[in-house]
Amino acid sequence: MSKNRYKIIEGQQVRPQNLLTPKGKAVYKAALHHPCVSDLTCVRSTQGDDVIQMTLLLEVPDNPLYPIQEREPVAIKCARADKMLPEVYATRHDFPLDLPHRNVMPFDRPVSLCVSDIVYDDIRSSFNAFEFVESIRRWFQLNAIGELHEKDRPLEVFFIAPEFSYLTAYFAGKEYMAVKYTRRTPFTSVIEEVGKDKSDYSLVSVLTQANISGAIRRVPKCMGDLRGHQGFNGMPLTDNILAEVMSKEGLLKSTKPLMVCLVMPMKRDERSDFENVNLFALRFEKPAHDIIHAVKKLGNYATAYVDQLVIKTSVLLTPAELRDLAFRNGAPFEEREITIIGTGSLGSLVLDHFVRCGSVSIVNIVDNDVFAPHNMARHTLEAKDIMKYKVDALKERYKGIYGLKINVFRENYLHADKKTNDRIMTTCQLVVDASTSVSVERKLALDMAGYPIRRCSVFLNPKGTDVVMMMEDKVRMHRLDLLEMDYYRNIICNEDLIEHLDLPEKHPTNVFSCRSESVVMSYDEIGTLGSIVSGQIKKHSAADEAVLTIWRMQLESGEVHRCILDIADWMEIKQGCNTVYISKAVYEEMCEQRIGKLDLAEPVETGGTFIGTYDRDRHVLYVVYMLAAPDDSVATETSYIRGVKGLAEEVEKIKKLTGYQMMYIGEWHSHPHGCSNAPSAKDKKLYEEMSDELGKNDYPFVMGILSDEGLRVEVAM
Amino acid sequence: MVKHYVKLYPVDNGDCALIKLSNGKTIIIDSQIREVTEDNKNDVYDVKADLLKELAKDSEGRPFIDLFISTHPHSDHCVGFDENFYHGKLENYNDKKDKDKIVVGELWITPMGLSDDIDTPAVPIRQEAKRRRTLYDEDEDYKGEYGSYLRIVGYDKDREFDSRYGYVPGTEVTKVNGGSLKYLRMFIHAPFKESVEEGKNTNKKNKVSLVVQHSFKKEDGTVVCKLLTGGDAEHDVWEKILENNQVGSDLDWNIFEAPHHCSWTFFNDSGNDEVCQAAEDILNHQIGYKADIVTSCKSIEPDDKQAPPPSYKAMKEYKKSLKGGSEHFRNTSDEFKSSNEPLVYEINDYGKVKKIYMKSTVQTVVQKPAPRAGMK
Repeated sequence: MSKNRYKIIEGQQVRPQNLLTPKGKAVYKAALHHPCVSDLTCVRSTQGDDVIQMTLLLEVPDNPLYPIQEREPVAIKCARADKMLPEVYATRHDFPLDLPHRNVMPFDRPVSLCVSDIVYDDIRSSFNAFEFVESIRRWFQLNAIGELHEKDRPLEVFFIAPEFSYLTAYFAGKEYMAVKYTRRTPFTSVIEEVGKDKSDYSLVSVLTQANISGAIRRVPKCMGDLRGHQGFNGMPLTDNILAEVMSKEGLLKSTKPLMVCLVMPMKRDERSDFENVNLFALRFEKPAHDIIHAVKKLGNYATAYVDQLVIKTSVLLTPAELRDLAFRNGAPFEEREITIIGTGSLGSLVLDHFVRCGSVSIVNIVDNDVFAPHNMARHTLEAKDIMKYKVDALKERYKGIYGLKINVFRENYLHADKKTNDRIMTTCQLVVDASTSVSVERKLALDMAGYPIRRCSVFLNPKGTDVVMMMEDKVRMHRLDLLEMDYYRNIICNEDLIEHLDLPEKHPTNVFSCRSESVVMSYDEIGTLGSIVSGQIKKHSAADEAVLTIWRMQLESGEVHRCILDIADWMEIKQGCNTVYISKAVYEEMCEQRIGKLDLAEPVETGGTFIGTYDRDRHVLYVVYMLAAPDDSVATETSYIRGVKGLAEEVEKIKKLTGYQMMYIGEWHSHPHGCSNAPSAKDKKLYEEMSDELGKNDYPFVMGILSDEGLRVEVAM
Repeated sequence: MVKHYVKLYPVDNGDCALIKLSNGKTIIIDSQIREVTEDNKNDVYDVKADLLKELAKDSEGRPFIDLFISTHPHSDHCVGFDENFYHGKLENYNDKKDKDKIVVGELWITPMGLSDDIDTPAVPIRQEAKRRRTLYDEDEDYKGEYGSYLRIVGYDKDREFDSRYGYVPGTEVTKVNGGSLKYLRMFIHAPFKESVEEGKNTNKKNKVSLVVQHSFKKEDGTVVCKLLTGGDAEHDVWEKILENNQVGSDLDWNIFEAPHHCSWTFFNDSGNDEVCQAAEDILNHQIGYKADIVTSCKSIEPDDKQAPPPSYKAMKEYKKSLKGGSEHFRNTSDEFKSSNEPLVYEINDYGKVKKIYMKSTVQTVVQKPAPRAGMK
């Protein structure tokens, strides 16, 4: 193997101490002490760069996939400018050309090796010459067994062109398209379909046979450069393109220069199926009309004419595909439909994450709100969207993602009619309520029983530091309204949640619901929590169980804490047109308290106070919590008079804890062993008095009687 | 892609090799496991420590190998078996007393190894083989079990051949320790009945060495590398193998382990310098231009400076025979001196790769800049 035979690395041999560049000196020194390096020589190239030549001893199998030998001569060129990784060349005269991760150079030999994909600036400070030599050995050794380009790594492109063009249109069966080509930067452009009068190219599509990925080919500058590549049915790519152009009769009328969209399926190796498609735009100087006429006229002599046709090549990029988005997120691509009600801060983030992760193919978004200037503080939309309907602007925002369909419903869900519900709740797999409205949640939970779609509700606490996710189980046993009640019970019982519903220091005075969106909250927190909850919706919707969880963020430290809340079963007791739901957690406490009193030497009755809420529209009352009999209560074997000591304070505390959502809702007492749970005359009188009294203030009242027969309730709404 | 390993430990003039298949199956050929002390730690490779690193543990947490092959009962092939391999009933394995002792799933031994006149380090192997043989003899339905499988390789005129535990030359083995090897076919060439008898009568144990061709396969069953091992088999054994061999490819090799630590007896065991035809024929079975001859011996000095084995003359002859050139002759001691490591071959879908170890560990910073999201 003679040295210095290639211009790029040839020059005058110099002594090691006369090397000019620090990199050159370091590479020489490392090579000198490397056990797998021999035949070390230093050269000053004609451009004044240092070139270190050596032979590397490699770990190569007996029958390598590519003909790499156990000893390979290489040249390492260290430029004086030190702006890029030292160039590495395989200098063997018959070194294979078609290897993966070879740099495309204006010359074939010496073969330039791409030993690192990393930007040099990122490793310059920690560059180690010994390791660099090792990375060159690694390049050879992994290529020898076909493992340099990992199996799970996307295929290399066929050509690396200096320009990238974004093609916004689809052929969809057209013979050709009139397109406008617009430069955006020195190396990017956009190709859009336009009317013929505004067009500057006629674009035709040409499909080739599947090509094998491997070495990146040099960018073609004329049609002749494509002759060595495979087209359709084994014909050269040049002939393939020509045949396709000649077959389009419509092109004869076109006076605009020809542009070819080369559609090139790629496969990993001979045996595998095609994995992806490479697209290239070949821009000709001449119109198709001229080319077709010339070829017809020249007949058998047309080859030379065709080969010299000048082309400019760019890599074609098409709109992002959902499948690709999923791949890039490391997520499974899922063809599913979801409905998102409410597209505010949280709803828009959930939508954004579902779309960008390729986790949804059809989204129904429901909201009648307009994107106002102040929404800029916490929303995925942009200033240009101000004063548009949020749903319209969001649809526009994701336009151009192939495979994604967004259906918009510009309406308040509370007023949505059957037609809308049929569209958004029939074929989807999940309804996400991000409306921050209890009414929407209740409507979804209770009014839409005919649609067996699983529901999920997400909302932020008033300070925006916690996000709450309630997701029904698959068979909807734990409905949204019951999960909401569980949520309040947890707030009352769980000390960690004492501050959960505290209001921010600055807040509107007119707050009716704990989940009303407050005016002041940090997008830093909302952004993080929105991302978390989006991922969790995806994760949990794949499982069957109900979910009730709070994620809390400490902005100061950046920590996020997960709080998994207890989910209880519920008793449903119908009474006339009313339905009372009692948490089984409450019922068990009542039974325990009653048994405790019956087990005394002198058994007595007992009772307590119900805490809960009601929904008058739907004639539903929820008993969420129970306060035990106050100390000053008076109980005998056959009577119970509930005391008052500390009760008002306890009720007030619960109201505050729950953001005034939970309230006094009624009373219960027990009956002795052997007695029924039917109200006594005194019970009836009490019930009438209490329901009258509370009714005056428009509050409902529920009375429970617990006996050996179980629980009986009387309710006045 | 499969990745099998053949590791030839640097044990001076002796043999100890580990074969590890892609599916985890392990084979050890001979034992030359010397105790490492403070005084000799720079010169003696710690085979035991490496084995414990390489071998998997069974369900009871005991290190084990699927197969131990004892080629012949010479000291330099049996040292350390007693201390490092478990022998006895498996249920008596004591986690404290027997800690780190390697359980032998299946044991191969020659009839010579079962005879009375053997070297002392070979005695525990004989004892263990006899214990296992008794299990077969006492129960005609016994077919072996983990820790007690046995194969006696070669006919023994003193005993009736028992196909449950007997192998003869010409046998193709693809199953050991009760399971399929899948990626390895072992073809037994020797010992022959005559050699066994002659060996017993003359006490020439080298005559009865086990000679095996190991064919390594990739996932689709294609053979990608062949290793021919012969213990200390001398020239006349190889001659007999050539006479009896039916299929030429059963003697082909990509790696040939020079018998008897690079002794001249492979070329001629009658004391003269003539290279016998049989040796030439065996060496001509090398595949392609990249075949290696490996020898497990001390560094080779000229014959006037060192009593063979190893034989300098033999080394020259081996080097001459290699189509790929003398650099394909490798010695375990030289490898150890240059790298502190054993001589290791990786066998993948594309054939054998001789591993190169360097004394310094290299971290490829070039491949690993500080990790940041958004980098290419």
